[in-house]
Amino acid sequence: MLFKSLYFIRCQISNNLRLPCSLQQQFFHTAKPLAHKWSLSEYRKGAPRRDDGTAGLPVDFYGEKVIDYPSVDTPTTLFNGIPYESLPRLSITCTKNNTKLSLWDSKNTPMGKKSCYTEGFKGSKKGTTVAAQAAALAMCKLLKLLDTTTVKVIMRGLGPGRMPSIQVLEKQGINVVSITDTTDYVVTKTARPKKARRT
Amino acid sequence: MRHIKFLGRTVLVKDGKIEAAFKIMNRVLASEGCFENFRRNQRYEKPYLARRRFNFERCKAIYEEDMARKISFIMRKNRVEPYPGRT
Repeated sequence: MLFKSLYFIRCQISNNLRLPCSLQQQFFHTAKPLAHKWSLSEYRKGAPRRDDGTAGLPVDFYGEKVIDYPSVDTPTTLFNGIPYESLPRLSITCTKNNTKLSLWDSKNTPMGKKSCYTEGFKGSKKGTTVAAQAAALAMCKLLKLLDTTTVKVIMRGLGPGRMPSIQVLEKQGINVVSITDTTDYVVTKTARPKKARRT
Repeated sequence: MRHIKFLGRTVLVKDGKIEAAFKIMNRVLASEGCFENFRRNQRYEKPYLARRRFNFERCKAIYEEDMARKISFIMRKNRVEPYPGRT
């Protein structure tokens, strides 16, 4: 009621007296006046929450929806009749000079190993994309022989065989359930890296 | 999950699109600065060089922020798109 009556009076004044806008506002305050007491804690309450970066970017940001992120139910979900946790894992180690592929059981028993050397590449030829393709192809043959074409892939390291080995897996029709990256991007070991190269 | 390595940095492939999923994972890792960090850690970085890099990065961030603001100010427009659906 009070606000309504105040508004009415204000309208009348503006109609009859035609006061400038700023003067009118000085006479009547229909809103709560500004708090005169200023404290840091009060100010902090009103400030927006600091972003700690946990929310991240949405999946849509990265274009096509071809990926899914693991959830709580992932270890128990069935892929080709096998739960995720007991799937065999194919670890691909890509280094500057070699590409190694090894197949492991869910109980940590090795099932097979292939590398560029086993396919007849020696010396610096191991560190090429062709050698990586050959090694991956051999691994695919082994997977088909063992009849374990549903695997989860673990990539490790950055090297020339990183992309070609994945491409071969797709071409050969291996059912890859997930891809994990376990490269040590942040070096936690105490050993000091090699001296920088002279320029 | 029992193994912690499957919690982070894992993507589940959909409809057998392995390469596309792998590329997206790489893009995510690149945007996080993982590859850059890896390459930097291959060789020892002397403290004086690290200090130099930090200062340079700071300056670059300030410059880029300012420049982006300036560009957005110059490129501002309030008119109807003359050729809709061009790009």
